[in-house]
Amino acid sequence: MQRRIGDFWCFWLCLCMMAGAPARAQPTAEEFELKAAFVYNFALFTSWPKSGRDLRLCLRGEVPYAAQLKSLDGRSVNGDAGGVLRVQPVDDERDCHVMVIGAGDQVAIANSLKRLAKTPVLMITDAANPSADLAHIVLIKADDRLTFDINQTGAVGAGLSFSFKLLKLARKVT
Amino acid sequence: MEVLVKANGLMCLVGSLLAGFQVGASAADLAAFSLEELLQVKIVGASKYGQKQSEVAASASVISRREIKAFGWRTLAEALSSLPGVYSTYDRQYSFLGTRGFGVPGDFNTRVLLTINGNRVNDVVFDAALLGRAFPLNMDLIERIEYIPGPGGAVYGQNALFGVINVVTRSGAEIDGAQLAVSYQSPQAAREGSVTWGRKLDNGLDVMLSASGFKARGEDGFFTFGSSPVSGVAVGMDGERDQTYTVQLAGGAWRYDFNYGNRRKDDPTGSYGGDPLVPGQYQEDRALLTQLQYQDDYSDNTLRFTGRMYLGRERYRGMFNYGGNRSLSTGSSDWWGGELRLLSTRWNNHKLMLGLEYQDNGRRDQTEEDLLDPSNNIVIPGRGWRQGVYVQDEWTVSNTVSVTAGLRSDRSSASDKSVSPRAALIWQATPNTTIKTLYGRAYRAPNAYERDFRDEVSQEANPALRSETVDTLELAIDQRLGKSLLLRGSIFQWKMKNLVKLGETADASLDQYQNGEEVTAKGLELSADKTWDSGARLRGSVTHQDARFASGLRLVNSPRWMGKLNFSSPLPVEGLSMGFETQYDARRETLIPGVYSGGYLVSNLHLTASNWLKGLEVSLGIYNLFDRQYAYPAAGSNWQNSLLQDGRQVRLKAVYQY
Repeated sequence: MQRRIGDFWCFWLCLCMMAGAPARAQPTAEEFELKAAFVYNFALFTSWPKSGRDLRLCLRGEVPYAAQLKSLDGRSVNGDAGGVLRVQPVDDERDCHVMVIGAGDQVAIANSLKRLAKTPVLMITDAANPSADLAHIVLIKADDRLTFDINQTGAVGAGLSFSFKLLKLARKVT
Repeated sequence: MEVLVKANGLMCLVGSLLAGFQVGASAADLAAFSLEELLQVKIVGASKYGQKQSEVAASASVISRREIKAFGWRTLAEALSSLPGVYSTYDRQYSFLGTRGFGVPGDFNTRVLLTINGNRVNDVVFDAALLGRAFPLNMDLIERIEYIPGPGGAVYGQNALFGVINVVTRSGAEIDGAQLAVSYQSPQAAREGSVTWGRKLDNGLDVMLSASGFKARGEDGFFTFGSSPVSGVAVGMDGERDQTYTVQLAGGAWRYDFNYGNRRKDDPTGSYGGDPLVPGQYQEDRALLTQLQYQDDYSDNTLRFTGRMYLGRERYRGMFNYGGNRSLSTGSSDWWGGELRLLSTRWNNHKLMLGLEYQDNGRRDQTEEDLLDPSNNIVIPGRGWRQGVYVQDEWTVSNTVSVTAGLRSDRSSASDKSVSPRAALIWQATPNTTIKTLYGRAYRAPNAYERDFRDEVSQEANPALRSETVDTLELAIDQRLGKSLLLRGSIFQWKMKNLVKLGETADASLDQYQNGEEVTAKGLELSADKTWDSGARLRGSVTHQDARFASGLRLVNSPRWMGKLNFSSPLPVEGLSMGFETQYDARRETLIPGVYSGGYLVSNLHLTASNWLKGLEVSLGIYNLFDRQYAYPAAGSNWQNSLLQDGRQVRLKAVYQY
């Protein structure tokens, strides 16, 4: 009887150690960390007509990976000019360079986005967001990985241009 | 040796659970990856659960944190009163909610189910939903309030007759730091302070901790006492104090909630026939609510399993003076239970839900204690259990039509088996028009106070009390005009059988809760919601309702007309915004036939200044802006027939975040 209990706990111990082992070969990450990294890269490969030094990133609505985006505040985005990414609340949306759109009052958000249609603000959101059709870059989850679609017509109309590298890696460009 | 291995095993289990939170790289690490590399990264771990997904029914109304801040609502009752068809009553002790024409004074809110993150707040002695300041959660911690009007019996069981209110709290990740809040309100000399800390830790654990305290002197009001010849100003008898504590932990599939509240309100009205104008009478509620929840997705995300275990404790104390003698009434509830729920999307176009719940009411005691002569004490112990099983399917028939059908069967130690069905049809007639019809039945078993309480002096028990049932039929049309205007019209009808209300024993010597005649109500609600480019928003609603007994007599405390207007907007000054609301209630019948508490129009104005100093938000709220005098009907347990409400109140509040 004693021996059997010992065996049971040994088995459990081994199972635990296996479960606790970190994943190797395949790089993995949590969804929100990954989305924030994508947004940062989108900013790196977009050109604004007049950007100044720092790039200002605003959040509209409830963005679930807001905390992860905030952790990228201060990161370099413009090597030569020494500019950095600023993730801060902004009063006037027209002052933003990048806007990440989350959930919230759909009607109010859609209104703001339409007002910004001709302003050079890069609008990024998730595929599930009701305002996805108004955004320039849409993040899509496919098979446990992330990819993205680009609305180039909309972006060009707003005065933005994308690096060829970004367009090449998109799943769909419209 | 064996003990060592066991200890190792246990520690390892805990270790791996915690280690399980350490998944993958941080956003900063990933930002160094190239785009090609990012496209190859596989998503794992905790973020799947990042956003709380609640299955909110199509007919639910959601009050967001943004609105709570815009209008400066101080209690749940104030926030919910902005919704069409919902009205509140305050008797200087507790806040009561009336919905769909039903708001019998003094009914403890037993016909509304209140939950915090899905965990039931209604206790087991009074089945009371604490909607005023007694609610054991600080309003600043609320992320949103989900209100599902109508019968929720098919999923939630007991107490969900006229609505279900689910309060969803903010996460540590959303708070992301520490928050300090202080406020002062005049003329009640009410001071409130709270401290909150929340963060999502590096290992993925989401933590939120909060504590708040409230103390008010109240007002010295003038009171008459019905048949008693005494009348006068109640000096220093309207005080109130309240504390709440909240602990929240979430990580991966697990979630833990802890809420504690302790509120005491002094009584200037002599409720329950207490001696008029004698100080030292009060009512106190201490509530402890805790739950542990596990939620995970299986079978390729087609099966969601939710399991939760919960524990609740409520202690009510009422101190009264009768003929010079101090008397203490207590109600003690202890309950624990568990719920399992499965949500399957395995079959195309179907969302099938199956659930099982068991609750043990370990303690359901009531006492009436004579502090001068304990030999007069009455002790009414009780205990019991409840169990329910429910099933619901949401069937997407076509692109534009969906049908929901649900059924719940409940059994308890105190009542017979009850079956609560529900059926809803949603038809999207055009891209801008949605038509919904809903039928549902819900029930409520009498609570321990109604059934078992007797003190041989004023009230007799009634063990033969039967459960109330409500059948509701509703038709609603939502019409979107353009992108910024939403119109909604709905008509409803409900029938209640076996209404439990306070009557008298056969020899008229004592009060007794009894099953009454059938009640029928019909109503019509029209509401509109308009937003502007500037961020301004206007919501308005008009409700007409008619609730009567089978004999034709109108229901007490049921305003026939209600109108509401809520307007919020940023102001031309940087960082400044305002919220203005006004509510009109037509007159309400009081318990004395032919006597009404008058119709009234009450307005509130709230101004918020954000970031004039970094991290600081200052707000000014003026409640009952025009200092209107108005009263609400009182309950049979009050001396008074109606109770005057507060005049103008001004509250200054500052919230500092760092």
